Amino acid sequence: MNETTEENLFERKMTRLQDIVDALESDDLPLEKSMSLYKEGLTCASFCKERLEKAHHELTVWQEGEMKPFAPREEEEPSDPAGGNAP
Amino acid sequence: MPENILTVRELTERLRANLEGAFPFVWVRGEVTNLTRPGSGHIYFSLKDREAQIQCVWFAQQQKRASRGQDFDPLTGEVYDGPRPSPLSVLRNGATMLCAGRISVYAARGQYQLVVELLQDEGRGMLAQAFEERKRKLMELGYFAVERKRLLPYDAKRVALITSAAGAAIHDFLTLGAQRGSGAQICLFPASVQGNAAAAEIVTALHRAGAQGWAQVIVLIRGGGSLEDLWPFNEEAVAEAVFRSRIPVLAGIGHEVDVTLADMTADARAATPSHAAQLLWPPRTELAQRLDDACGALRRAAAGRLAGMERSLQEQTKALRWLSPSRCLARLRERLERMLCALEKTLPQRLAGAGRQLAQKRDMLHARILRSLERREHALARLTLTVENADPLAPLKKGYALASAANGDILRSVRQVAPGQEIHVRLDNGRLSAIVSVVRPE
Repeated sequence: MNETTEENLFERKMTRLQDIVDALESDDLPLEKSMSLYKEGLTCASFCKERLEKAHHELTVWQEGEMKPFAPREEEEPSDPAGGNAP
Repeated sequence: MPENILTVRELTERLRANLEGAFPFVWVRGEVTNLTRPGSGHIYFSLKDREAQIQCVWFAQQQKRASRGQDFDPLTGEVYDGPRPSPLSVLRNGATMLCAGRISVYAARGQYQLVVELLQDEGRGMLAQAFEERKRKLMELGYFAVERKRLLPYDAKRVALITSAAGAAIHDFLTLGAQRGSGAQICLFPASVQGNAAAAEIVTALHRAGAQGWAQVIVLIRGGGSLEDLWPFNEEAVAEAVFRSRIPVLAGIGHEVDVTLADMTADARAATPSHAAQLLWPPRTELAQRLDDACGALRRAAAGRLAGMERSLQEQTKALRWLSPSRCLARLRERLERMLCALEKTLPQRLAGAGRQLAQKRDMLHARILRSLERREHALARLTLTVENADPLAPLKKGYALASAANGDILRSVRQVAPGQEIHVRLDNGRLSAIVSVVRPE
């Protein structure tokens, strides 16, 4: 499973963005470093924005020992089925 | 056709005669299940215990008496202080009721049934009692201990979902979840959530999700239902599988009021399947707002840093100008001028001061000299007086005479002269010479 690089990218970029803000606010950085951090921050922000706009949950089902694509049936069953199923 | 062969109707009629005759009025206790209230107003349900169940019907006209509320116990005849709630309001699946009525045979279905005339609440159902017993046991085992509850991941990315593949629960969960989070993978581990097989299937799904180890969180959900419907989630095996799960479990079973043992054992409890989605993912709008805030902070921080650098540059430039040779010279010149100016101001003041002091001292000297002269004049006068008083010629004015010998010696004794000798006599206004005629000592 790709559980390391891709999936936490949003959160990691958000964290990085926050770190950059903190660094710019507190550290006595040289101008060039500040500017490169600012550019990196902008890149992080636009990445996160795009991620949020496109965000959706991928649904799979565990069958025969592997994940397979899955779409839930649209018809709804009643959540309070009334009687008739007692042994 | 042999005479002992009966038609269905005949058999049914004989059964009816026997049964209805044997049980003209009977009290029976059991747990209500399969409760239905069709439009006709009659109420159908089954009463059951562990081994058996019986169909019951409560006709609308019989309910009218009960709907007013009961002010006496129909079984014992005890009169209540105030009316008790109507059995109609407490009649629900899972409730243990005490029913009185007659047994009748419903020929059309070949069923015998209890035609209910009186109904009384017997308190919590047996399932509820079993629930309480299990709850106590699991609590003693530490299943519900707060300290073993694990935190759910924020904005979960890998979710193992255990529920029925179709139904309200998964629909509600996915519908609400679609508006939340930054995108997750949800893997459904299908399991029946109702009926005899449900508990085993739920346990299997929990084990599979745990063994697979991919998920950050396991979500166990089911829509609302009767206590009986939700019973699989009160099975010990399910609670144990939740308890032993290495992956945190979020349970959202039934409605807000329903709490199952699986809920209580889970690391987190959601009131409903929709609420489970809320606990799992922050609203996307919240994430967007967080992002906006971070962008704003980034711009402010960068602008602040630039402004700080500009300020620093200005200060350095100012300092540099201050330290330039021409500025140093100018400052020295300025200082010199200030000193000169000060000097010019102070010299006349100091001269005037010295002049004043000189004059004062001169005056003092003058005064002292005068006083000294006066003292000397006085002393001189006194001395002059004294001298004048001591003048040997002074008594001559009063008639005295000064006699001296010819050699000029003052005559102080008659023995200094002898008769015939010349002596000189001085008077106040002249001198005369005389000859001593007689000497007479006395």
